Amino acid sequence: MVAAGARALRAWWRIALGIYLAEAAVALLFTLVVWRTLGALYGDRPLFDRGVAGDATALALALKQHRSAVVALAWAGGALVLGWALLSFYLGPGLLGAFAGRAFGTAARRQFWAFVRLSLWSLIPLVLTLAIAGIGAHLTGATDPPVVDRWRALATLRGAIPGLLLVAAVACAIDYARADLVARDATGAGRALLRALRLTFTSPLPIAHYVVYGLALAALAALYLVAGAPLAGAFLFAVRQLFLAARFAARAIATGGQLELVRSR
Amino acid sequence: MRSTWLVLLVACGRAAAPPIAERPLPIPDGKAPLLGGAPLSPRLASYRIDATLDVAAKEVRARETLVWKHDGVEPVRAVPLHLYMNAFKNETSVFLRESHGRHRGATKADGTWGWIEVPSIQQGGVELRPQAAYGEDETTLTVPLARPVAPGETLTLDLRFTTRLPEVFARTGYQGEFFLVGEWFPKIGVLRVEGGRQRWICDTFHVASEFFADFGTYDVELHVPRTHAIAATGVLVAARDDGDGRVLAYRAEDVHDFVFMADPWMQVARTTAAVPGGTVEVRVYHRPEHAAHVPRHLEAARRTIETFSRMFVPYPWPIMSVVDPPSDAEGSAGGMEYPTLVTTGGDWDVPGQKLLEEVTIHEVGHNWFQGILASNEVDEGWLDEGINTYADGIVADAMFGADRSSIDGLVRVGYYDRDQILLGMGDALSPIDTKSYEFPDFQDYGVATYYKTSSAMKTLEGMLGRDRVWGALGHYAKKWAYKHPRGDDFIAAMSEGLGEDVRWFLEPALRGRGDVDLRVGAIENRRADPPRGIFGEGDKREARLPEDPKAPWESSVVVANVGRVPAIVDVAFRFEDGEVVTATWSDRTTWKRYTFHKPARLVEVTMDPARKIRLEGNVLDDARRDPPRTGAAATAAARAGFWAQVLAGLVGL
Repeated sequence: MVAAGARALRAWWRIALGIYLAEAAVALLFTLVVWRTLGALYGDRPLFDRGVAGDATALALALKQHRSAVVALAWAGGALVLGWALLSFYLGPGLLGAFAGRAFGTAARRQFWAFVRLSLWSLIPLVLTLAIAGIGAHLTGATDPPVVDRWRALATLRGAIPGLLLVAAVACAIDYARADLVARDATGAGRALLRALRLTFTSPLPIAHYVVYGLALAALAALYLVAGAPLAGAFLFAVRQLFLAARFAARAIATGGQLELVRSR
Repeated sequence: MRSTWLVLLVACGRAAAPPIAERPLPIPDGKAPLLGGAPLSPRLASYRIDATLDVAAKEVRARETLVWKHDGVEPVRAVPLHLYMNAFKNETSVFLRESHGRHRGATKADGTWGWIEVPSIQQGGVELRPQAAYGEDETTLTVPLARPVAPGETLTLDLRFTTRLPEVFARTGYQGEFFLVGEWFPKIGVLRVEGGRQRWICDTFHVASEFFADFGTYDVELHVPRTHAIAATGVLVAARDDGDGRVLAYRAEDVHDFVFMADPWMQVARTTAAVPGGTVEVRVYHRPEHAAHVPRHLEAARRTIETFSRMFVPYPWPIMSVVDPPSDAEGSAGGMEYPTLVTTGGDWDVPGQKLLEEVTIHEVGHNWFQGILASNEVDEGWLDEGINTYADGIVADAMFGADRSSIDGLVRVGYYDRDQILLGMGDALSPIDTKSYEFPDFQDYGVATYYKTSSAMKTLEGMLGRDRVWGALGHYAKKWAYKHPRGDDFIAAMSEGLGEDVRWFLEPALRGRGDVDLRVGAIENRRADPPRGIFGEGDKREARLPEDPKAPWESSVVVANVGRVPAIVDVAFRFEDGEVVTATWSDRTTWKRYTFHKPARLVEVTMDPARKIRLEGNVLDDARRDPPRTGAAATAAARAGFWAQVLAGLVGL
């Protein structure tokens, strides 16, 4: 599956790169807005520097003086993320269509609404599995000795692991369903999801790819959270793009591989 | 979804629970009610109560003998009684009108009303009840006496009453099989003498107010089921089985209230605290599912007792009971103080947060700030809640470290830092020194009474020195222990203890609106060239236009305190070559200009660099730099962009 995905990415790397750059451009735009806004608000206030350097109290005291601006920035970020999600209903089938040897625009247009419907159907298994993870975390959190150490706090979440594995399986199935829609040139999102769930749970090996992918994502995010604190803005941005480019490539390879797998069935 | 699952799980848990079993007859504590023998207070209001807890009917039926000593200056012809439980009788009570059935996040259950009926009040065999009249609502009752009581005489009243408990939502009542029985018996008001005149203080029960009562002794016999664990104010002096159940006799001395808890599932854990004059047994009553939290409650209670006994006055009673209510009663019964018995909250544990310890420290701390220093919580809530909140931080900082005594997780926040953050979140509309029922809402009451008072005290500590302020607070405690101090008494005692008049700060801080508000004005730098222009006359006229690039810089800045509370403030000035000059601005004026002649430009000014001034909501403009720098903004923006991109990757491609 991985090899097939890598072949597809090699063949259609320009389209993949274009999509990645579009995503990066959206994020860069948001970053610029945040930078200029915070610079104007806090450029002459050393308290904000202390906050960014890790003093949580200083950060809280600084942010609350411009609460409205901070909330507005958060909404702007949310709007951009939502916009990207909507755009993905177009770009996603286009990319998969290209991997399948079809014209990007044709596949994107034909499967746009199918992808929208699929995302709505996907909410059902996602909410269910996330609820299972939440209940598991709550149960271990309730029975574990109280946590006083900052990292041991994460250990109380071990009850969420079965649920998170199911989330990974569902995420894998959703991607299968996308590949299924494009490979069959179909529009029945619900049926595609059911077929994909069956495929996922009858051939569970690809779930391992998702678990590895999820763990790598979580580890890198944690690393960024911890190691990012002392880094300056520009370097941080570069590290971020390297990480996200790697993430995107991994995802494209997985998607291409899934497409090949679905077509072979 | 989550709550549905939890309901199912709880239901399964209930179904699988073992039947309630009888407990062994409790062994009396075998301790004197006081660690020292001698009375500590005037003991003006003492009670003997014989009470039966009917767990099925959710009622307490009792007989009470009230013995009240008249230490006023005029004869008393009528006495007022508190009937607190009538606050929950119907929706015309002041408490329910003000609260709309909500109290600190808990909501009153429909139809579970609570009330107290007092069918008989006798003075020397003469029935007084028919002449008694309710006050603003049925939470106070004025009882005309058959015979006036002269100053120095003692009044004895014999009462019968029945108290119906509500489902607990405001610190008294039942929840399932758990009972917290507080504010449950008729209680006499406080006769206060001021300016040669006496007046009764017996306020209507308001939602934001707590209590005020005279010290005395309590001899209480409780008739309770054999199945229930009991915790109560004072010490257990006798226990017997009377055929129907247990009779437990408690005695408490030099206290001003009595409360008890009953529950069939509670377990008890113990430790000891060493105080001058003896050892205090610390007990935590908890259900098995909260066992993991017990060591934290025990340690927090022990540290509080030992610290406050050392700093203020020794804890005088041999037992301190901490009740951790069951999960379904945490919000409604947890976090309340009574003498020698407090409630805390085990379910309030959030990983990384110290809220669990903080609640225990706070409630145990109330045994000093209101328990021993019995101020009027209705009129001057800050005097117990606020000063206690400040003092609690001393214990929390010692236990966890000042930089992480509130949150120690992915971020770290200190106890007093938290207070300052909360202080700025909601600017109090009312002065700290406002009657509890005159605040516009509960938020205003909370911000002013708890956090603003604590921040004011921390500011005083920062300005005058920790040891001096702690010493002065100890002086106040020793001077007013087992009495009824007022705000003026506190300010006077603090001035005495500090050896200087601190009304300049405490008066505006406690009795005015607003706070300290420091501001750094624009930084001005210019070359201190020799004066330019046309100098001299006639032949000696000459033009001087020197521009010396090596001339020193003249830098100036105006620092200001535009708040309503004056302060003594340190100021740090940083120059471009790295030199830092510090000064103390101590004349308490509104503003001051600082001017320097230095080889380098002034680039940054920071007022209060050590963050000693905590009574300030807006600290952002306490420092300024010139020119501005946006490096931190870039770093923050890069992080925001990263997480936005991660989120975009999760919801999109």
